[in-house]
Amino acid sequence: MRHPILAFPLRVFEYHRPVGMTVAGAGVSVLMLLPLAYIVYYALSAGAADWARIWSKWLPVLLANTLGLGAAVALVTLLLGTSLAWLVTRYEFAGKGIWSWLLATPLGIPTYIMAYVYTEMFLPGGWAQSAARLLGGPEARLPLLYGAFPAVVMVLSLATYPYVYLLVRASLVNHNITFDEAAQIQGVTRLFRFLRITLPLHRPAVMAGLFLAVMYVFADFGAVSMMRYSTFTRAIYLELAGRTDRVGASMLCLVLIVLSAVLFWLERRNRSRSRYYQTVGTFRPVPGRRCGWSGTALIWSYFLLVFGSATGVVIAFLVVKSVEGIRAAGLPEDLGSYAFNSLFVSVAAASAAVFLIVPVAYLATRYQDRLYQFYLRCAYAGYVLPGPIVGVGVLFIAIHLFNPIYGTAGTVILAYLIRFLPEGLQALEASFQQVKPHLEEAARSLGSTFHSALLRVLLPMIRPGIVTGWVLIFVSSMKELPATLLLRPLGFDTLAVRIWIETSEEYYELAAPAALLLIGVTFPLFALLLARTTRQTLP
Amino acid sequence: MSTSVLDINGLYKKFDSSGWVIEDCTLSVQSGEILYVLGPSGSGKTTLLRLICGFESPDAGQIVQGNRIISSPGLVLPPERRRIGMVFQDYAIFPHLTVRGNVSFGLARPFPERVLRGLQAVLNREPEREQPLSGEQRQARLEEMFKLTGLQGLEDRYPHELSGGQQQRVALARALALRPDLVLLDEPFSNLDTNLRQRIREEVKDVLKQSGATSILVTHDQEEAINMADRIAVMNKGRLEQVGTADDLFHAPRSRFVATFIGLSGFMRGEIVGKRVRTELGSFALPAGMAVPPSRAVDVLLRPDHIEPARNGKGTPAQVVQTDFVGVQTLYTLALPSGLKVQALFPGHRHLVPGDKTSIRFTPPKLVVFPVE
Ligand SMILES: Nc1ncnc2c1ncn2[C@@H]1O[C@H](COP(=O)(O)OP(=O)(O)OP(=O)(O)O)[C@@H](O)[C@H]1O
Ligand SMILES: [Mg+2]
Repeated sequence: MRHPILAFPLRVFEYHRPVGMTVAGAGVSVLMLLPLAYIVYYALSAGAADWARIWSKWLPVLLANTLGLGAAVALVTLLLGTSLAWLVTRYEFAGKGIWSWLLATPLGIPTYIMAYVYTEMFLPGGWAQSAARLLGGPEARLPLLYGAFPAVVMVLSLATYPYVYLLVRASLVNHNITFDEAAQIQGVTRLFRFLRITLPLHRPAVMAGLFLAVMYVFADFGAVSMMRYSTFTRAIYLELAGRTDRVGASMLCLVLIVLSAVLFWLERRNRSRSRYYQTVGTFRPVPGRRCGWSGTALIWSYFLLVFGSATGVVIAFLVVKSVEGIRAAGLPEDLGSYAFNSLFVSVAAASAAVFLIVPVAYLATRYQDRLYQFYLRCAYAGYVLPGPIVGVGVLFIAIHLFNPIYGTAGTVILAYLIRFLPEGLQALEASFQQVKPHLEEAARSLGSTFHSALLRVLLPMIRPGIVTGWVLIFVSSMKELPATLLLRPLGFDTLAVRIWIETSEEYYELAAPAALLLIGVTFPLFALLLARTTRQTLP
Repeated sequence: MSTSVLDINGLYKKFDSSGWVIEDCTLSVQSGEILYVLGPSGSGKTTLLRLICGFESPDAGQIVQGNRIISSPGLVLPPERRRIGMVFQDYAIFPHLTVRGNVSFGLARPFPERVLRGLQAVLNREPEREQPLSGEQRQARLEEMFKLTGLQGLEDRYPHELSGGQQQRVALARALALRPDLVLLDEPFSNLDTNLRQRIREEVKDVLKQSGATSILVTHDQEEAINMADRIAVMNKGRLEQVGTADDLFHAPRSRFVATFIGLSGFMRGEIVGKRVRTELGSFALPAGMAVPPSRAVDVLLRPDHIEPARNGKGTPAQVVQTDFVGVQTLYTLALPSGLKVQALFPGHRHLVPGDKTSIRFTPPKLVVFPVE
């Protein structure tokens, strides 16, 4: 007779720690932490003299600029995002559906393209200057936008208000009117119901949106650089470009990482408190108030103003300039090869990232295991690594650790992987959480092995999450600028890099076709994602 | 003689062209009573409560509170100015506030709100909805509410840290804290599991009685209504079919619907002959004041409680078809010679099995008959 206990440890081992995935997860953690580790190591190896130099040259002004910009953008996005979301959810007017989509479209336009369009329009002979002359006479002149704080605030706010708008809209749509009725029956009038119920219930969504916007501002490199406004990201780039030693850049990186980490921590705290704010029981939405002609006209003009200055003017500008440019000089040669380069690195990064994410997300959602939660944390660490920092980190890796990829497109792919893995992870984690472990267990009970249960049951169910994650990473990679600039091999130009080069040499018209092509490729995918998230958040 | 707290007169309500959701409702709620509105799903119970609260406006009729008309077509006093409390079906406890914050929501108003309310009361020339309380009074009221509802020790918890029964009590405490003239509870026990339901029901009844509140509760569970209510209003397709004590509804149902909805029931065909009704189970005196239908055919209501085993072989012969134990008694399904099946409750010690022959008597305290439809 066989001894029954022999089979026991094998089963337990397999159940608790799938070996292959555990190793893969460890690999991801190392990959995500390496750039961070290098940066911290170099920054801490800096002497007092280095710190003095960095302090006198950069820090006060960078801190003031970055924090000031963050605060101002937060304020403007708060006003724009919440007012738009309120109008879209609480009023009934013609064209509501299309507007609620249009207002989110600025997210699909890379910020540096928006910055480039605005900068160009305010140059002598640009659209804005012509308009000023038309209205104010031949002597009228508008200032240039270089280094202008209000202009930078405006461009970044127009680019990031959709974060606030989308999150607050989702929150308002899910508002259960029963809470208002419960307050009303307690004798609370309308104004105070707004202050005592609506405001606190939706504050977490507003905060989450603002955090995203400010995070974006901290990480933005392209827009601030094109408008010649110095924040940390621009300074890091200049530090790297101008010097042979990389200590200074690492030090700036460290400060920016600390700033982003504080913000990230605040956001997590905000989210954990709001987790319980969802309503249970019977849901009744708030009925929208009908608008007459005048109300509709008012709302339309406000929306038109916001949408026009964010998406509308950018697309119009790019189309007109591209057509003009192509009429004059024909289709820019090499545009095809730039596009190919962009697609190549982005597809490679997105595909590799999805492969790496699956084990991390699987382990973290299926096991109550400290190690796997640690993997998850490491993977999310990429959120506090803005583009230039990842660029610096990958540069270190390529020089000191893994020389063969130095000077190849591999570094670019690696940078995208590290930078955007968290975005994909978030999408996949959510879809893993929606699939109950019982389903795999049912497959196991029907005789499937661990791996075949994964392939036959789990994978088909999380396919939407995988697609979403892939698209997110792909779109972000297509738009990525700073890490690409730092790492690309000589002569390897992507669309984003091309836009950067043309604009920094002030051939503004030449950038238009590349920008239009970039938006043309990414926008449909972005629209797809937007439709998906909207379907998930709207009941 | 108790006074009425709320009077509903000839109320009508519809939402769209699909017909009346509330049709000709007239109801008077007496001070201190627990009134139940009992009806099947979709009969308009929630709509009636929302009309009383002022969340909906009636299409005809009026609602009077004290000496004020608070709802009539086109003229609806807003809910915040009525002295009516409500416990919502899903409790609607504010998730961003603690238990204390929830219960004191209407008591401890922020200063600007207090000022504005005072101003509004003056402008509307109406008494303030509730007497303004001093800090100590408010504290005392809160403590009283926590004690009454057994929430002591849970004051600083957030709603997600409470069980279903505890959430229920928070909702009740919140509604009672303002000492409203009337509290409305919409299916208050439907979100609780069956084990808990019985206990919570007793607790809520105690709380309502102790606080002296007048209340209207809504349910589709007849057993709950019978146990809890002082009076029951039976609702069917938007109409109030009958209002009365459980005893009235059981023994003197005024419509077929009430007769079948409350308690176990069956019907037996009868024929009016002179002043009597002749049936398979014997002949009975026709109830006084009963209009005789032209066909002279009626249906007689049979309650299992009113069918007894006949002594010494008299009565109608019957054969046992099925037996079901219900506690100390047994519910028998019996077939009469005509093939009609009737249900009867006999004491459990009579051991009959399907196939056995017996004989029965029908002894209604008061005969209930309906014209044949
Ligand atoms: N806001 C509304 N708009 C349109 N029809 C409504 C509305 N509210 C209720 N109704 C309709 O009125 C009828 C009565 O609804 P009500 O909610 O009052 O029933 P109920 O007795 O509370 O049912 P339940 O026991 O299921 O809660 C239903 O047919 C319902 O569809
Ligand atoms: Mg209801």
